Amino acid sequence: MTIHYSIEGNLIYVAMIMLAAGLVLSLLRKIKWLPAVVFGAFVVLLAAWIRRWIAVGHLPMQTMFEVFLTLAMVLFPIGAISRRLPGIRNPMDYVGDVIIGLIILFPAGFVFSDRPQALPPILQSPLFGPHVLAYMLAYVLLAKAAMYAIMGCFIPTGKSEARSSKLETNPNSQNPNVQNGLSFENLNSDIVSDFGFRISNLPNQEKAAHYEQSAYLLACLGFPLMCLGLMLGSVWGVFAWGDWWNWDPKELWSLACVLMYALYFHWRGYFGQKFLRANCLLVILGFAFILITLLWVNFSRLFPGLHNYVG
Amino acid sequence: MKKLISWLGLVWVAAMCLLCIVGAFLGAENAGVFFNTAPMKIAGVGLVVLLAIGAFFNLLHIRPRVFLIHLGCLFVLVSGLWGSETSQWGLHLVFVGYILLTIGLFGYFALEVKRQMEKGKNE
Repeated sequence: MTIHYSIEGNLIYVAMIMLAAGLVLSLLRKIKWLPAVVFGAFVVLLAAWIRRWIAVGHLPMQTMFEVFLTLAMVLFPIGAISRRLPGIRNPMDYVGDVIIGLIILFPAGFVFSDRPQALPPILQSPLFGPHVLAYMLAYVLLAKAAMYAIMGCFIPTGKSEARSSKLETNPNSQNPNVQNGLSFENLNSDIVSDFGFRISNLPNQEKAAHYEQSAYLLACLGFPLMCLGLMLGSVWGVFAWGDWWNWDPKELWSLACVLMYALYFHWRGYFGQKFLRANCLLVILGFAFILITLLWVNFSRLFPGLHNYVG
Repeated sequence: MKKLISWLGLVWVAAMCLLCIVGAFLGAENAGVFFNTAPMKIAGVGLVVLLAIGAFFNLLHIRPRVFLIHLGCLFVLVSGLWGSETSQWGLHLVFVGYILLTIGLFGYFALEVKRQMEKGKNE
């Protein structure tokens, strides 16, 4: 465990304190302050990110410290954009952002070294920024999707409730208000508040369906960005290593992530919201693969390869 | 039939995902060899066929976004297969008439390089 004394390190601690305060506020049910807290944390992290950029002289996305700082920084604008999606604009999303932000910032603040490193020649490419940024945006969106999936997965749904809502969650329904098996008609009439959906009043089965739907929407946004990152990496590979694909462990884990989410989309396309828990588990598994790609592959000696400079 | 193809697609994607993980544990060099074995080539061609069926099915049901996703994947996979070493010695030779050298060895004497570098430095 290390303490950073650099300016960006101190700014990270300030952002962490703000987010921790946000968490306390949410526990005290003073949720209306959360948008201001989240915005404040974003401004502080943006300042840290720009300061880091000036200090290292290149886009701060090379070391794990920089990657985690970027992830935390993009989390809040991504959250603001994703809250425009139907059903995601709820207070729980702000709380989720605060929790994810704290989880991301902890290793940046206390685990990874903040020592600036020169950019190796292989990374001095115009594709460095787009490739890494596409992945960062995708990872944040899919982290939020995993958060909703976890919430959807652990809500107890009794068999009787499932049976009573079976008609409502029929994916073949002709009702235009039923989207992907979730009835938005009921949601709109019963639970719209000035803050968005007040989902706590819903029965557990519908709550789980709502969270699963949110996870699906976020995965729909994150998946194309992840594919874009993979494709940009492949194009970069031609210039850097002379081939589109090198069967590197990092490449194979990235492909496994894409295939995992492809499996989820096929599964969901086929069954709709018939198996809510299985849908949620697939999203969680996809995010577990992302964590392996981001952390285990970079740090473990099990996977030596062309991407070892990242760790 | 539709049900069978849907299940086949699911199983195929899951199998490819598992194989990627196995390949990651093998290391880059061995994974390259593993994914170029005959069963893996058949799996690759199978995926091409399934993607083509998926694209056709979604074109038939007028779902342009899903159709384009399948078409994009098909394009990437077919390009990959076309550029592979096996294709170089088979399809390229038959249809194009020549092969693109992707892997080769360049031999040189270390002393000679040193002499040339020194010569360059002196000049």
